Amino acid sequence: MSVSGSDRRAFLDTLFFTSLAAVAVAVLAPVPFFLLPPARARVRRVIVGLAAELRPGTARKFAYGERVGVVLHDGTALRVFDARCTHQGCKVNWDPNGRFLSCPCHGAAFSSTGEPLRGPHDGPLETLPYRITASGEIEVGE
Amino acid sequence: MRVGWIEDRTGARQWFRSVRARLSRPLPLKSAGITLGSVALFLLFLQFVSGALLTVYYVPSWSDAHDSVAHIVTEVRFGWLVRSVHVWSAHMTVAIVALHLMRVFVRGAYARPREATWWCGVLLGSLVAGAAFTGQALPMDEEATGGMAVAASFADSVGAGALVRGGPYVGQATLSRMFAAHVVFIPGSLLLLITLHLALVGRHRLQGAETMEGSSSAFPRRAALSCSGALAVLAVLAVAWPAGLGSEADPLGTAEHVKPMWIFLPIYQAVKGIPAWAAPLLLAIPAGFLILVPFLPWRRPVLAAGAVLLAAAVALGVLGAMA
Ligand code: HEM
Ligand code: FES
Repeated sequence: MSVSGSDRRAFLDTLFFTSLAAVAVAVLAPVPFFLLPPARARVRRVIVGLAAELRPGTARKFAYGERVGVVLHDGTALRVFDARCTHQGCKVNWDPNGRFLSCPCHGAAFSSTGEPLRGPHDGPLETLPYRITASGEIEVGE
Repeated sequence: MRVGWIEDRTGARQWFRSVRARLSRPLPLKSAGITLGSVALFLLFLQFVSGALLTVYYVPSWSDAHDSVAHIVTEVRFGWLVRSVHVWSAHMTVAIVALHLMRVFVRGAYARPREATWWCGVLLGSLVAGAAFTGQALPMDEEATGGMAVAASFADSVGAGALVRGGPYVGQATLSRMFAAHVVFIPGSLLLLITLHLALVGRHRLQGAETMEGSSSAFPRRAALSCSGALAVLAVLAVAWPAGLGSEADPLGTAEHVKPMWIFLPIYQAVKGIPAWAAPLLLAIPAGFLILVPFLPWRRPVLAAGAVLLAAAVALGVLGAMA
């Protein structure tokens, strides 16, 4: 079988463009991985204040790593939530009169136990674990 | 330097002549709004210049960004003017691009053979909206943090939240991404796509003028007039109502009554009434319609559908503005 010049050129062209495509893929492949952020160490624990200083019906917000938490005293117990509204992620605020958490963005409201009361939402607020230290401080985190 | 030498080395005059010849083609009979694209181009040029100036002082830092913008508008000489031009021409660009889209839509200029011009335009429109959105995030006022939270949660519902947030939560990494998108990725893509868009317009000529011969200075004259008009409007807006700066975002909260830029008000209002998972549909449905439009042969139903979408957006936007 003889190989004509044009067959040969076509073959070389295919080889060239296939290699070019392979190089392009190899060069671009790391980009999506680069853009997806690596996992970072999370904040483990944070002291929010003295439990005795949080009066019934009041709440306090605190920074929890990059998150924002809210601790509230609903009259019977302390409750600690991630303040991130489950609708679209705005930060909820404690309404001292109505005794619920409300979101300024689209009007969602959550009860003092984190359950959705009204407005758009995607489930209850996330509860954050906490404990009271020996010196009476509220310590939020695992 | 002799002109002949420059011409020989660069071909500048020949190039200039061919551009002028293209711009001097006769206009179609129905040419209302024919300069809207040119005005968009002119305003984007102003955006590039004023934006480049702002990067000299702006600091993309979660804690210092707001201060740096306040510094620009209060202390830097003419800083208020540069920022005001950037902000006002952003509003105008968005509005003019929307009008340009509507004109092309109503005229049916998206149809064969201009499908690629239209899709390129749809991408350009999304990029312009993206530029407005990411720009709004940069001053780190209350609107900015609210907007970033919402964008991240939109992205979450299609599984791309981490890509927007840059981490598990909205924070410095999110602002860095907004900044990178606003000053590098979006402007770069805009430049590429505008070049393509204009090349395609040149290739297919203006709708209704495909077979017209001869040369006319109507287009360049009208384009220059429209751009001067836009510049005058911009100057009045920018000087008489210098762009305001919202108060610094509270790191622990979202402020009451934060609202996004007007173009996003329809979405802002619509998400109140639908479950979170359905939110991306608010973008997908209009986008899908615009992408498919060149394939839909029925003129009247398509026009009607466009009118319904527009009416819904305006109604939602007005409700959102009053809420
Ligand atoms: C960055 C934004 C944009 C710029 C700078 C731009 C620029 C231009 C210019 C200068 C023209 C020629 C004359 C005219 O009709 O105005 C044009 C035509 C056109 N544009 Fe755009 N454009 C943009 C966005 C869009 C969008 C969002 C669409 C639609 C989705 C679009 C679709 C078209 C079409 C189909 C034509 C041809 C119109 C005809 O032949 O009558 N463009 N554009
Ligand atoms: S983000 Fe809270 S109601 Fe929409």
